[in-house]
Amino acid sequence: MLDSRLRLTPPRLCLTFCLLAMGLAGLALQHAGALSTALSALFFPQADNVTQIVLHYSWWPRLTISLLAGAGLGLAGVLMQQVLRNPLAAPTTLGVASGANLALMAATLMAPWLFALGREWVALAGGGLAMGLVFLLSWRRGLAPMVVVLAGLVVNLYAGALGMALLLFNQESLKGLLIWGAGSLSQSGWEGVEFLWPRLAIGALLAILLLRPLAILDLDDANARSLGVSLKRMRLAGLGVGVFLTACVVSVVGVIGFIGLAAPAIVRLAGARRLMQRLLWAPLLGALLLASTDLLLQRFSGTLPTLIPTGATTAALGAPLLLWLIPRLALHSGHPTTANHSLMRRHSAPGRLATALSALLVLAILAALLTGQGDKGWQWLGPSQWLTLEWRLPRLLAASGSGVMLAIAGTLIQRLTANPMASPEVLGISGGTAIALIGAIYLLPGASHLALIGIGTLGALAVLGVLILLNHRSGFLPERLLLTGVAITALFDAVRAIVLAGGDPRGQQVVAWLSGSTYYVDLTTATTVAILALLLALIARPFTRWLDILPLGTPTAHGLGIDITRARLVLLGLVALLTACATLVVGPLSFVGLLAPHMARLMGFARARSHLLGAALVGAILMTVADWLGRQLLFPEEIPAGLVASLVGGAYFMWGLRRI
Amino acid sequence: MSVFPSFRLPACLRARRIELCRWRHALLAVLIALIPAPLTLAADDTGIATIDWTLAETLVALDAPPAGVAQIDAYHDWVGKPAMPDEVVDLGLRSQPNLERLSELAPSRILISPMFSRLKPKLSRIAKVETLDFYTGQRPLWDQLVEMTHQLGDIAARETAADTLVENTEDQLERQRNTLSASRDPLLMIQLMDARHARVFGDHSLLQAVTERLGLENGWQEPTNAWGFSLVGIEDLMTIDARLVVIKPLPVGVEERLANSGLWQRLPSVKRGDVIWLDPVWTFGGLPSAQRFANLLVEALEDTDRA
Amino acid sequence: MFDVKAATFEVNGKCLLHPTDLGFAEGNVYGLIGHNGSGKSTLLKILAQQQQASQGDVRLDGRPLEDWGPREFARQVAYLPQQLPSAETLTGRELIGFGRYPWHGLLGRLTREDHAQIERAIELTHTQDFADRLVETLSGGERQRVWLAMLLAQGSRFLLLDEPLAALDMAHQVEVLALIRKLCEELQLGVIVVLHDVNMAARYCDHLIALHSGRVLAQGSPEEMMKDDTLEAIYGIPMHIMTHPSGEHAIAVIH
Repeated sequence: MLDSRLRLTPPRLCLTFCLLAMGLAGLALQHAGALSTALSALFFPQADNVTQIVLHYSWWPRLTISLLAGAGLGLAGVLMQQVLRNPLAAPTTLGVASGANLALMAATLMAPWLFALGREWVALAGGGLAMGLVFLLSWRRGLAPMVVVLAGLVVNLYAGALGMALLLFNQESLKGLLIWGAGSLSQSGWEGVEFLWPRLAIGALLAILLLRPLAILDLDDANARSLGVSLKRMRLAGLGVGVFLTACVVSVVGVIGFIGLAAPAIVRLAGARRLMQRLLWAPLLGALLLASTDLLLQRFSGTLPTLIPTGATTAALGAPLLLWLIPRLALHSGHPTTANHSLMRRHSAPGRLATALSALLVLAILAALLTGQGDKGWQWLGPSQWLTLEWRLPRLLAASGSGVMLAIAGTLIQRLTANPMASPEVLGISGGTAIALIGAIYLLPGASHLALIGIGTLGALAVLGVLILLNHRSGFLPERLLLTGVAITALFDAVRAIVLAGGDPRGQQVVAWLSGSTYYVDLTTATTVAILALLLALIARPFTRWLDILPLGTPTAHGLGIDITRARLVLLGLVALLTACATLVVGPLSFVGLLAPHMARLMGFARARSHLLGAALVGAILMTVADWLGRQLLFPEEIPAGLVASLVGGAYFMWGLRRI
Repeated sequence: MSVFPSFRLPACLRARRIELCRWRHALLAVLIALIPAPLTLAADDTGIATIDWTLAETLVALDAPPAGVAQIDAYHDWVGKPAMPDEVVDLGLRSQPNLERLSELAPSRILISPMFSRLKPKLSRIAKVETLDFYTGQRPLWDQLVEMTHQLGDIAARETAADTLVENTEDQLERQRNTLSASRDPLLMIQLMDARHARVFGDHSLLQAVTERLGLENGWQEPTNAWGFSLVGIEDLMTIDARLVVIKPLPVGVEERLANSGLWQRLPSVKRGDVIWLDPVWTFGGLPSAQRFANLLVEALEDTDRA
Repeated sequence: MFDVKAATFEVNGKCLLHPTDLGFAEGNVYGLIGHNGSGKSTLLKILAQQQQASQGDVRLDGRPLEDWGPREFARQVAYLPQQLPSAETLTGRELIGFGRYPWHGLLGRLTREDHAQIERAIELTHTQDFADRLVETLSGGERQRVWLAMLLAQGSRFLLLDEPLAALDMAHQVEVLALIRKLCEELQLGVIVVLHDVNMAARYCDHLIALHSGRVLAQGSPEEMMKDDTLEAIYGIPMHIMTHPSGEHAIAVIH
């Protein structure tokens, strides 16, 4: 524990950032002359003075909008985390940002006339549609947090994958949207502020009105119901306000997601436990965090040939802050865990189901090897064309192998943390690998393959080291583990967004690899991957007893004599190994690790052993089919397997959600 | 990107027709084919394939159109001229050209630029891959482009056409330089990304290479990346007193937004009303794009002179 | 035999358990009583090694708790947390089978002995009829009995139960406590149970330990403890002791 001199409280934290922001603003204004002229430029700029015009039309609106956007996201984050009872929930959890992004991309390519209405409205409509879909999927279950989170995840994935695909094929037309996607606060007038502030004021007012009923959500469902609260209506209201705030902010300044996760998480870590306190401090901290980041950025990025978007940078600064806080302060997991038992059915004969899936896998493999399009349209592979296997076999092996590895890693991490949002991607291992590889590709253009393997592995190891370092004292408490992972993943998202927004033509290749591509695999690699997948699957099997007992919670597992810390460390190591291997081959964003375990659960694989087997089979089928589809759908252009897997798996998953 | 070392398949699998290898053997061989083997080139020389649009446009200008080019539709949208002949095969994405189709095409050489060097191990199993250096940000771009054009002439056996292209381009620029009146305002060449951000072209860019040869001054002296542009917010252009040259196309909806943008309306060039709007040019192009840009720019400058 | 010597527990500088000395032997049912926040659960968690005592000495059979290996300890002591976790999609028999983990560990095979212990636990708790149904489909009382069966399958000498009656109606409360009492006598188990209802505690326990603000306020047999002033001191409200109409034992009522 910290001693009282150093103990962080939300007011102290906000004061620190307030001083930082004011100091930076003061420094920036000094360049412009006296403070009084800067202030007069705010209201009465002299038309012929360039400095004053820049201050009036760019600097002041930018500062204002950074404060507004930060506050809006902080508020939205509190609402989301309160209603969804998940510390990983963020304003973007319900797919608002990715929906808005997809809408903007689709409108740019297919219906440019929509922009006559204004870009904000297109983005708002996209975000609203995504939210509507999430609500539709979870309506029948009374907007239960667990279902909403799952629906949000899948809608996010779906819109994200579609957006990536559009980007891949229309790099030139969509390059401007990448800047928006990375969240740039750069302003050229007061329209943004004029659009945003009344909407934020309405949102804040609604949030205050909802304060009391929302506080009841701290109780568990039964207790809340007994107080005469309609949970469904309240969740609809809470989420609705959160989404509205997010959509407004995102439509003006672009995707700045991390503030909305970090600000509420940080004030909670710093001791704001009651909803009232969090509603007060999180927006304040969000505003100051975003403003300080932006001012820092303006001060230090002036000499770079490229624009560093603020949204991405907030993650770059907020993530280390979150990482620094995680081991220092007690995490009060005040939220009752929600049971997800009733979501899942149990298949009466998992063995038969697994056999059927294996048969399906064999069929998929044969189809993927033997059919495809060529110059003359569809063709079976004849005996004279075995040469083509040189291209197909490595991709098939890599796709199925990495599918198996990610699915097993996902099953392990979801059972270890008992959190449905957990996935190998969320743990940050793949993010670390990817950051290292992107860095190497950009900074060491001549690096050899072996050097790149080494660098990627180092990245994964570094992340594993950070995870262990920050979590060993808490005994790898799942909630902390996931927050650590989320912070690291946010760093990766930042690097990706900055790289893409910069407009470097090489960004295209990064997009292709990031979205889970088997393109670059050769036969040696692919064989290695397939063998490793089988080997690691065999290694994972003996851990099924832990995996069965751990979801029952720490007290029970401990009571049964499991050395919890050791068990978590061993499983974490295994997850890291599986994820790093898969990431080095197919890139970090295939989402099979998230989808396959859930799909296996939906099919009725209940016990850990059958769950692992089912998820591995689903992962292999999904990636095999996805890789084949990706090569055929837009022949001769190829869609990376990870994208198709997200689309196919996401569709199945949505259908499954509707059914429960 | 796969980052494991690569090995080659046995030679018997590489030949186009493999009657000698029974298919069962072939399958077995594929499964255990980890033995490095020398590369044999396809015997029939069907031409050159390239995934880089700049190389493709230069090849067309040399009257040696490639056999295959990546993303031909998008090429026509963004590079435009010179147009790809209809018989050129589309190879798929530039970042991930379709390997099955490429190996069916069986070109004698595949040409790439350094930005695609990650593809080299894959592509070199289909045909000899040559990397032509340009847009590396290290040497003057114009020299690189001239050198690249000569190299292409050698590769495509069009040495004289290459000489002519270089000469024609330099002659044209020289001629246009003389037609332009001596003292002119510096230019600020930008491409708008949205209503608040723009790429400004400077050192290492094709546009600056052309304006230099036209005797025009570039108002943007800040550092740029290897492709010759800086990505900036509109506010960074405020302090530069130069004539704006905006390369179209504008992103959708941007025109309306600029009309309402306080900052844009107060840019020196916008206030003077002397902004030049140029038709689309491939800003990362080679000599053909340079010619096109020079023509468009000189025409626009002369138009405003007359007005 | 559990020995607690001067054990304390502090969190964030706040003392939840003041130095406490206690002993627990097999063959007895111990009831921990007291109002909310009196330190009952904390004491139980320290005994179950769910939490470590900040200071002091807690021993099982003369060995400090921390010297026991996790599985070795679980073979001696079984613990039922206050909030029963969701058993997801497990059947009763599968859940009960988890109780054998301390014996077979991660990799060991399920022996005939393990199966026999599972069947015995099912028999003892009369859960045969619903052992093969999903735990989540069972009623509160049935579920509680299945969890109890899991603890019994553990084959330990001590059962530590944290408010096992909280979610049950009266009939099921009596049923579960009677079962615990019977098991204690038949198997010579040591049972330490946190209870809210002082009458239930007095009727089924051999020994009551009352905690208040993290200190042991009083302890003794139910007869010694069921006094007006003792109970008032424990619960902070005036209580009155009456004889049950059957005349067999005392009951406490609120004034």
